[in-house]
Amino acid sequence: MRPFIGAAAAVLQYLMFVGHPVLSLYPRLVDGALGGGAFAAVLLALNLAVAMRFPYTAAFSTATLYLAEAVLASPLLRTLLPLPELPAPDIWLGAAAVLLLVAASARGLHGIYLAATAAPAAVVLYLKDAAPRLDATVAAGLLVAGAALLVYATRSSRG
Amino acid sequence: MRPLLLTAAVLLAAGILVESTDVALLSLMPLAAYALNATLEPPRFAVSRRRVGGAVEIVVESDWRPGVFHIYESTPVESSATPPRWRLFKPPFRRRLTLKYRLAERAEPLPLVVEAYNPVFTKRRVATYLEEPRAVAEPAPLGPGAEEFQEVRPYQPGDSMRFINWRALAKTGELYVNRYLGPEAKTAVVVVDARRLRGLVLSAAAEAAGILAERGYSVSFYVLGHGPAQAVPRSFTPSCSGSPACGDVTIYVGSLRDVCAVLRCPRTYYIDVAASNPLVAVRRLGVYRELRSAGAVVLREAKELGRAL
Repeated sequence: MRPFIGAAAAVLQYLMFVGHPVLSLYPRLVDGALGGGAFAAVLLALNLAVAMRFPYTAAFSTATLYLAEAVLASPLLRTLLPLPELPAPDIWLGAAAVLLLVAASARGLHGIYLAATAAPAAVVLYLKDAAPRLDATVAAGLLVAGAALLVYATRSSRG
Repeated sequence: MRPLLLTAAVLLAAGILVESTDVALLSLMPLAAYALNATLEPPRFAVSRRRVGGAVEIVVESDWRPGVFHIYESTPVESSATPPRWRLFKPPFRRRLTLKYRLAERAEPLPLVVEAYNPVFTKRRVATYLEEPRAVAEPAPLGPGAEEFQEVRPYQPGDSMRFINWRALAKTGELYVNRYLGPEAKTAVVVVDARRLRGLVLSAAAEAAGILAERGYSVSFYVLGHGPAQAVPRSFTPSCSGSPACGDVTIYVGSLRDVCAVLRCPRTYYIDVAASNPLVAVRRLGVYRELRSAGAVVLREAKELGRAL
C-alpha cells in the first residue's frame, strides 16, 4: 500500500506541475539540465522515499500542491498581489489528491475501504458541472427517480 | 478518525478563503466517508481461541459489516508485562479472520478482550472471553447411563466430548464416540435466545434448568451466538447463529417476537419471557399458533414448565 501511495502521489504531483503555466517552469528546467524524464524520476524517488515511512505526508503534500495552485488562481490573491490571471487547477486532480489523502489516513485495506466510501461523493463534482447542461429527458428521469424514492421512503416508514 | 475530519475542515476553509466552490466541494468526499461509516454498527462477532502446537490461534467470525478489531490479552493491574495487542481491519462481507501467535508460558490463561469498532471508530462493541483453566483433578466419573461399554458409533452433534474414542480418531481421522449400557439418563437442552430482554431470558433459563434438574434431567445449554455450554457464559454476543442439538426435552427460552429456529425435536417447549405482559401475548398469538402446529408447547413463564412436564 505504501509504495502505491508514493507512486500515485508522484504521478499527481507531476501532472499538477506540468499542467500549470507557472509551475511548469520546474519540470522544464530540470528536464533541460538533466535530460527528459529527470523531473518525473526525482518526484517518484522523493515520494516513494517519504511514503515508505510516512504515507500520510506524501499524500498531504500532493493535496497541499493542489491547494497552492487553487490559491494562486484565486481572485482574492490578485487583489493583494500583482499576479497574472492563472487558470484554476483541474478539479479531478484535486479529487484524486483528496482520495489519496483519505486512503493514506488508515493502514492498508482500511485506507482503501475508506477511499472507496469517499469516492461516490465525487459525483457531486460532476453534477455541479453537468447539471446546467442536462436536457429534459434526464430531468424527467431524475424527477421519476425522486418520486419513486419518496414513495419507497413513505412506505417503509409505516412498517 | 480525525484525519478525515481534518481534511474536510482544511478543504472547506481553503475553499471559502480562496472563493473556490470546487475546493469547498472536495470536502464532501472525506465527509461522506466519515458520515457513511459513522452510521454503521460495529460488526457482531464470536471469537474462539485454541492451541495449535506451540502457538495460539484466534479465529474471529463475524457478520457482513466492516470494522476494526482490537484484540488483546487482559493482564492483571499489578503486572509489569505489556500484553500482546493486535489490530485487524475486517473488510465488508468477509466473515472470518484468523490470527496466530507464539504461546507464552504462564500458569493461568489470561482473559481475551475483543473490541470491535466501526471503520471510523465512533461505535464500539466489547466482549471478554474467559478460558477455563486446564483440568488438574481426577477425570470425572462417567455418570448415569455409562456403566458398561456397548459399541463405537460415529459422533453426532450433542455427544459429550468425554465419550470420544481418541484411538479411532487417530486411526481414521474421523470422530467416533463410545456408547455405554446402563440406566438411561434423560437429557434436556435449554436453548437460550438472549437477543432481547437478556436479563429476563437468563433468569428464565436458569429457572427452567433448575426445574429440569429437579426432575432428574441432565441439563445442558445451547446459547445462540455462542454455542453449547454447561452453564450460560458471562459474556457472549447473542445472535441467531448456531443449530442446537435436540435433547429428550428441548426448551427454547427467549422473547418470541421472532424465533431464531423452529426446533424439530421430540418434546419441545417454548418459553416467551415477554408474554407476562398480556398485550404482548395477544399480539403474538399467530406465532404461538405456528409453533403449536409444529408440535411444540408454548409457555408464558418458566414456572409453568413444572406443570407442563
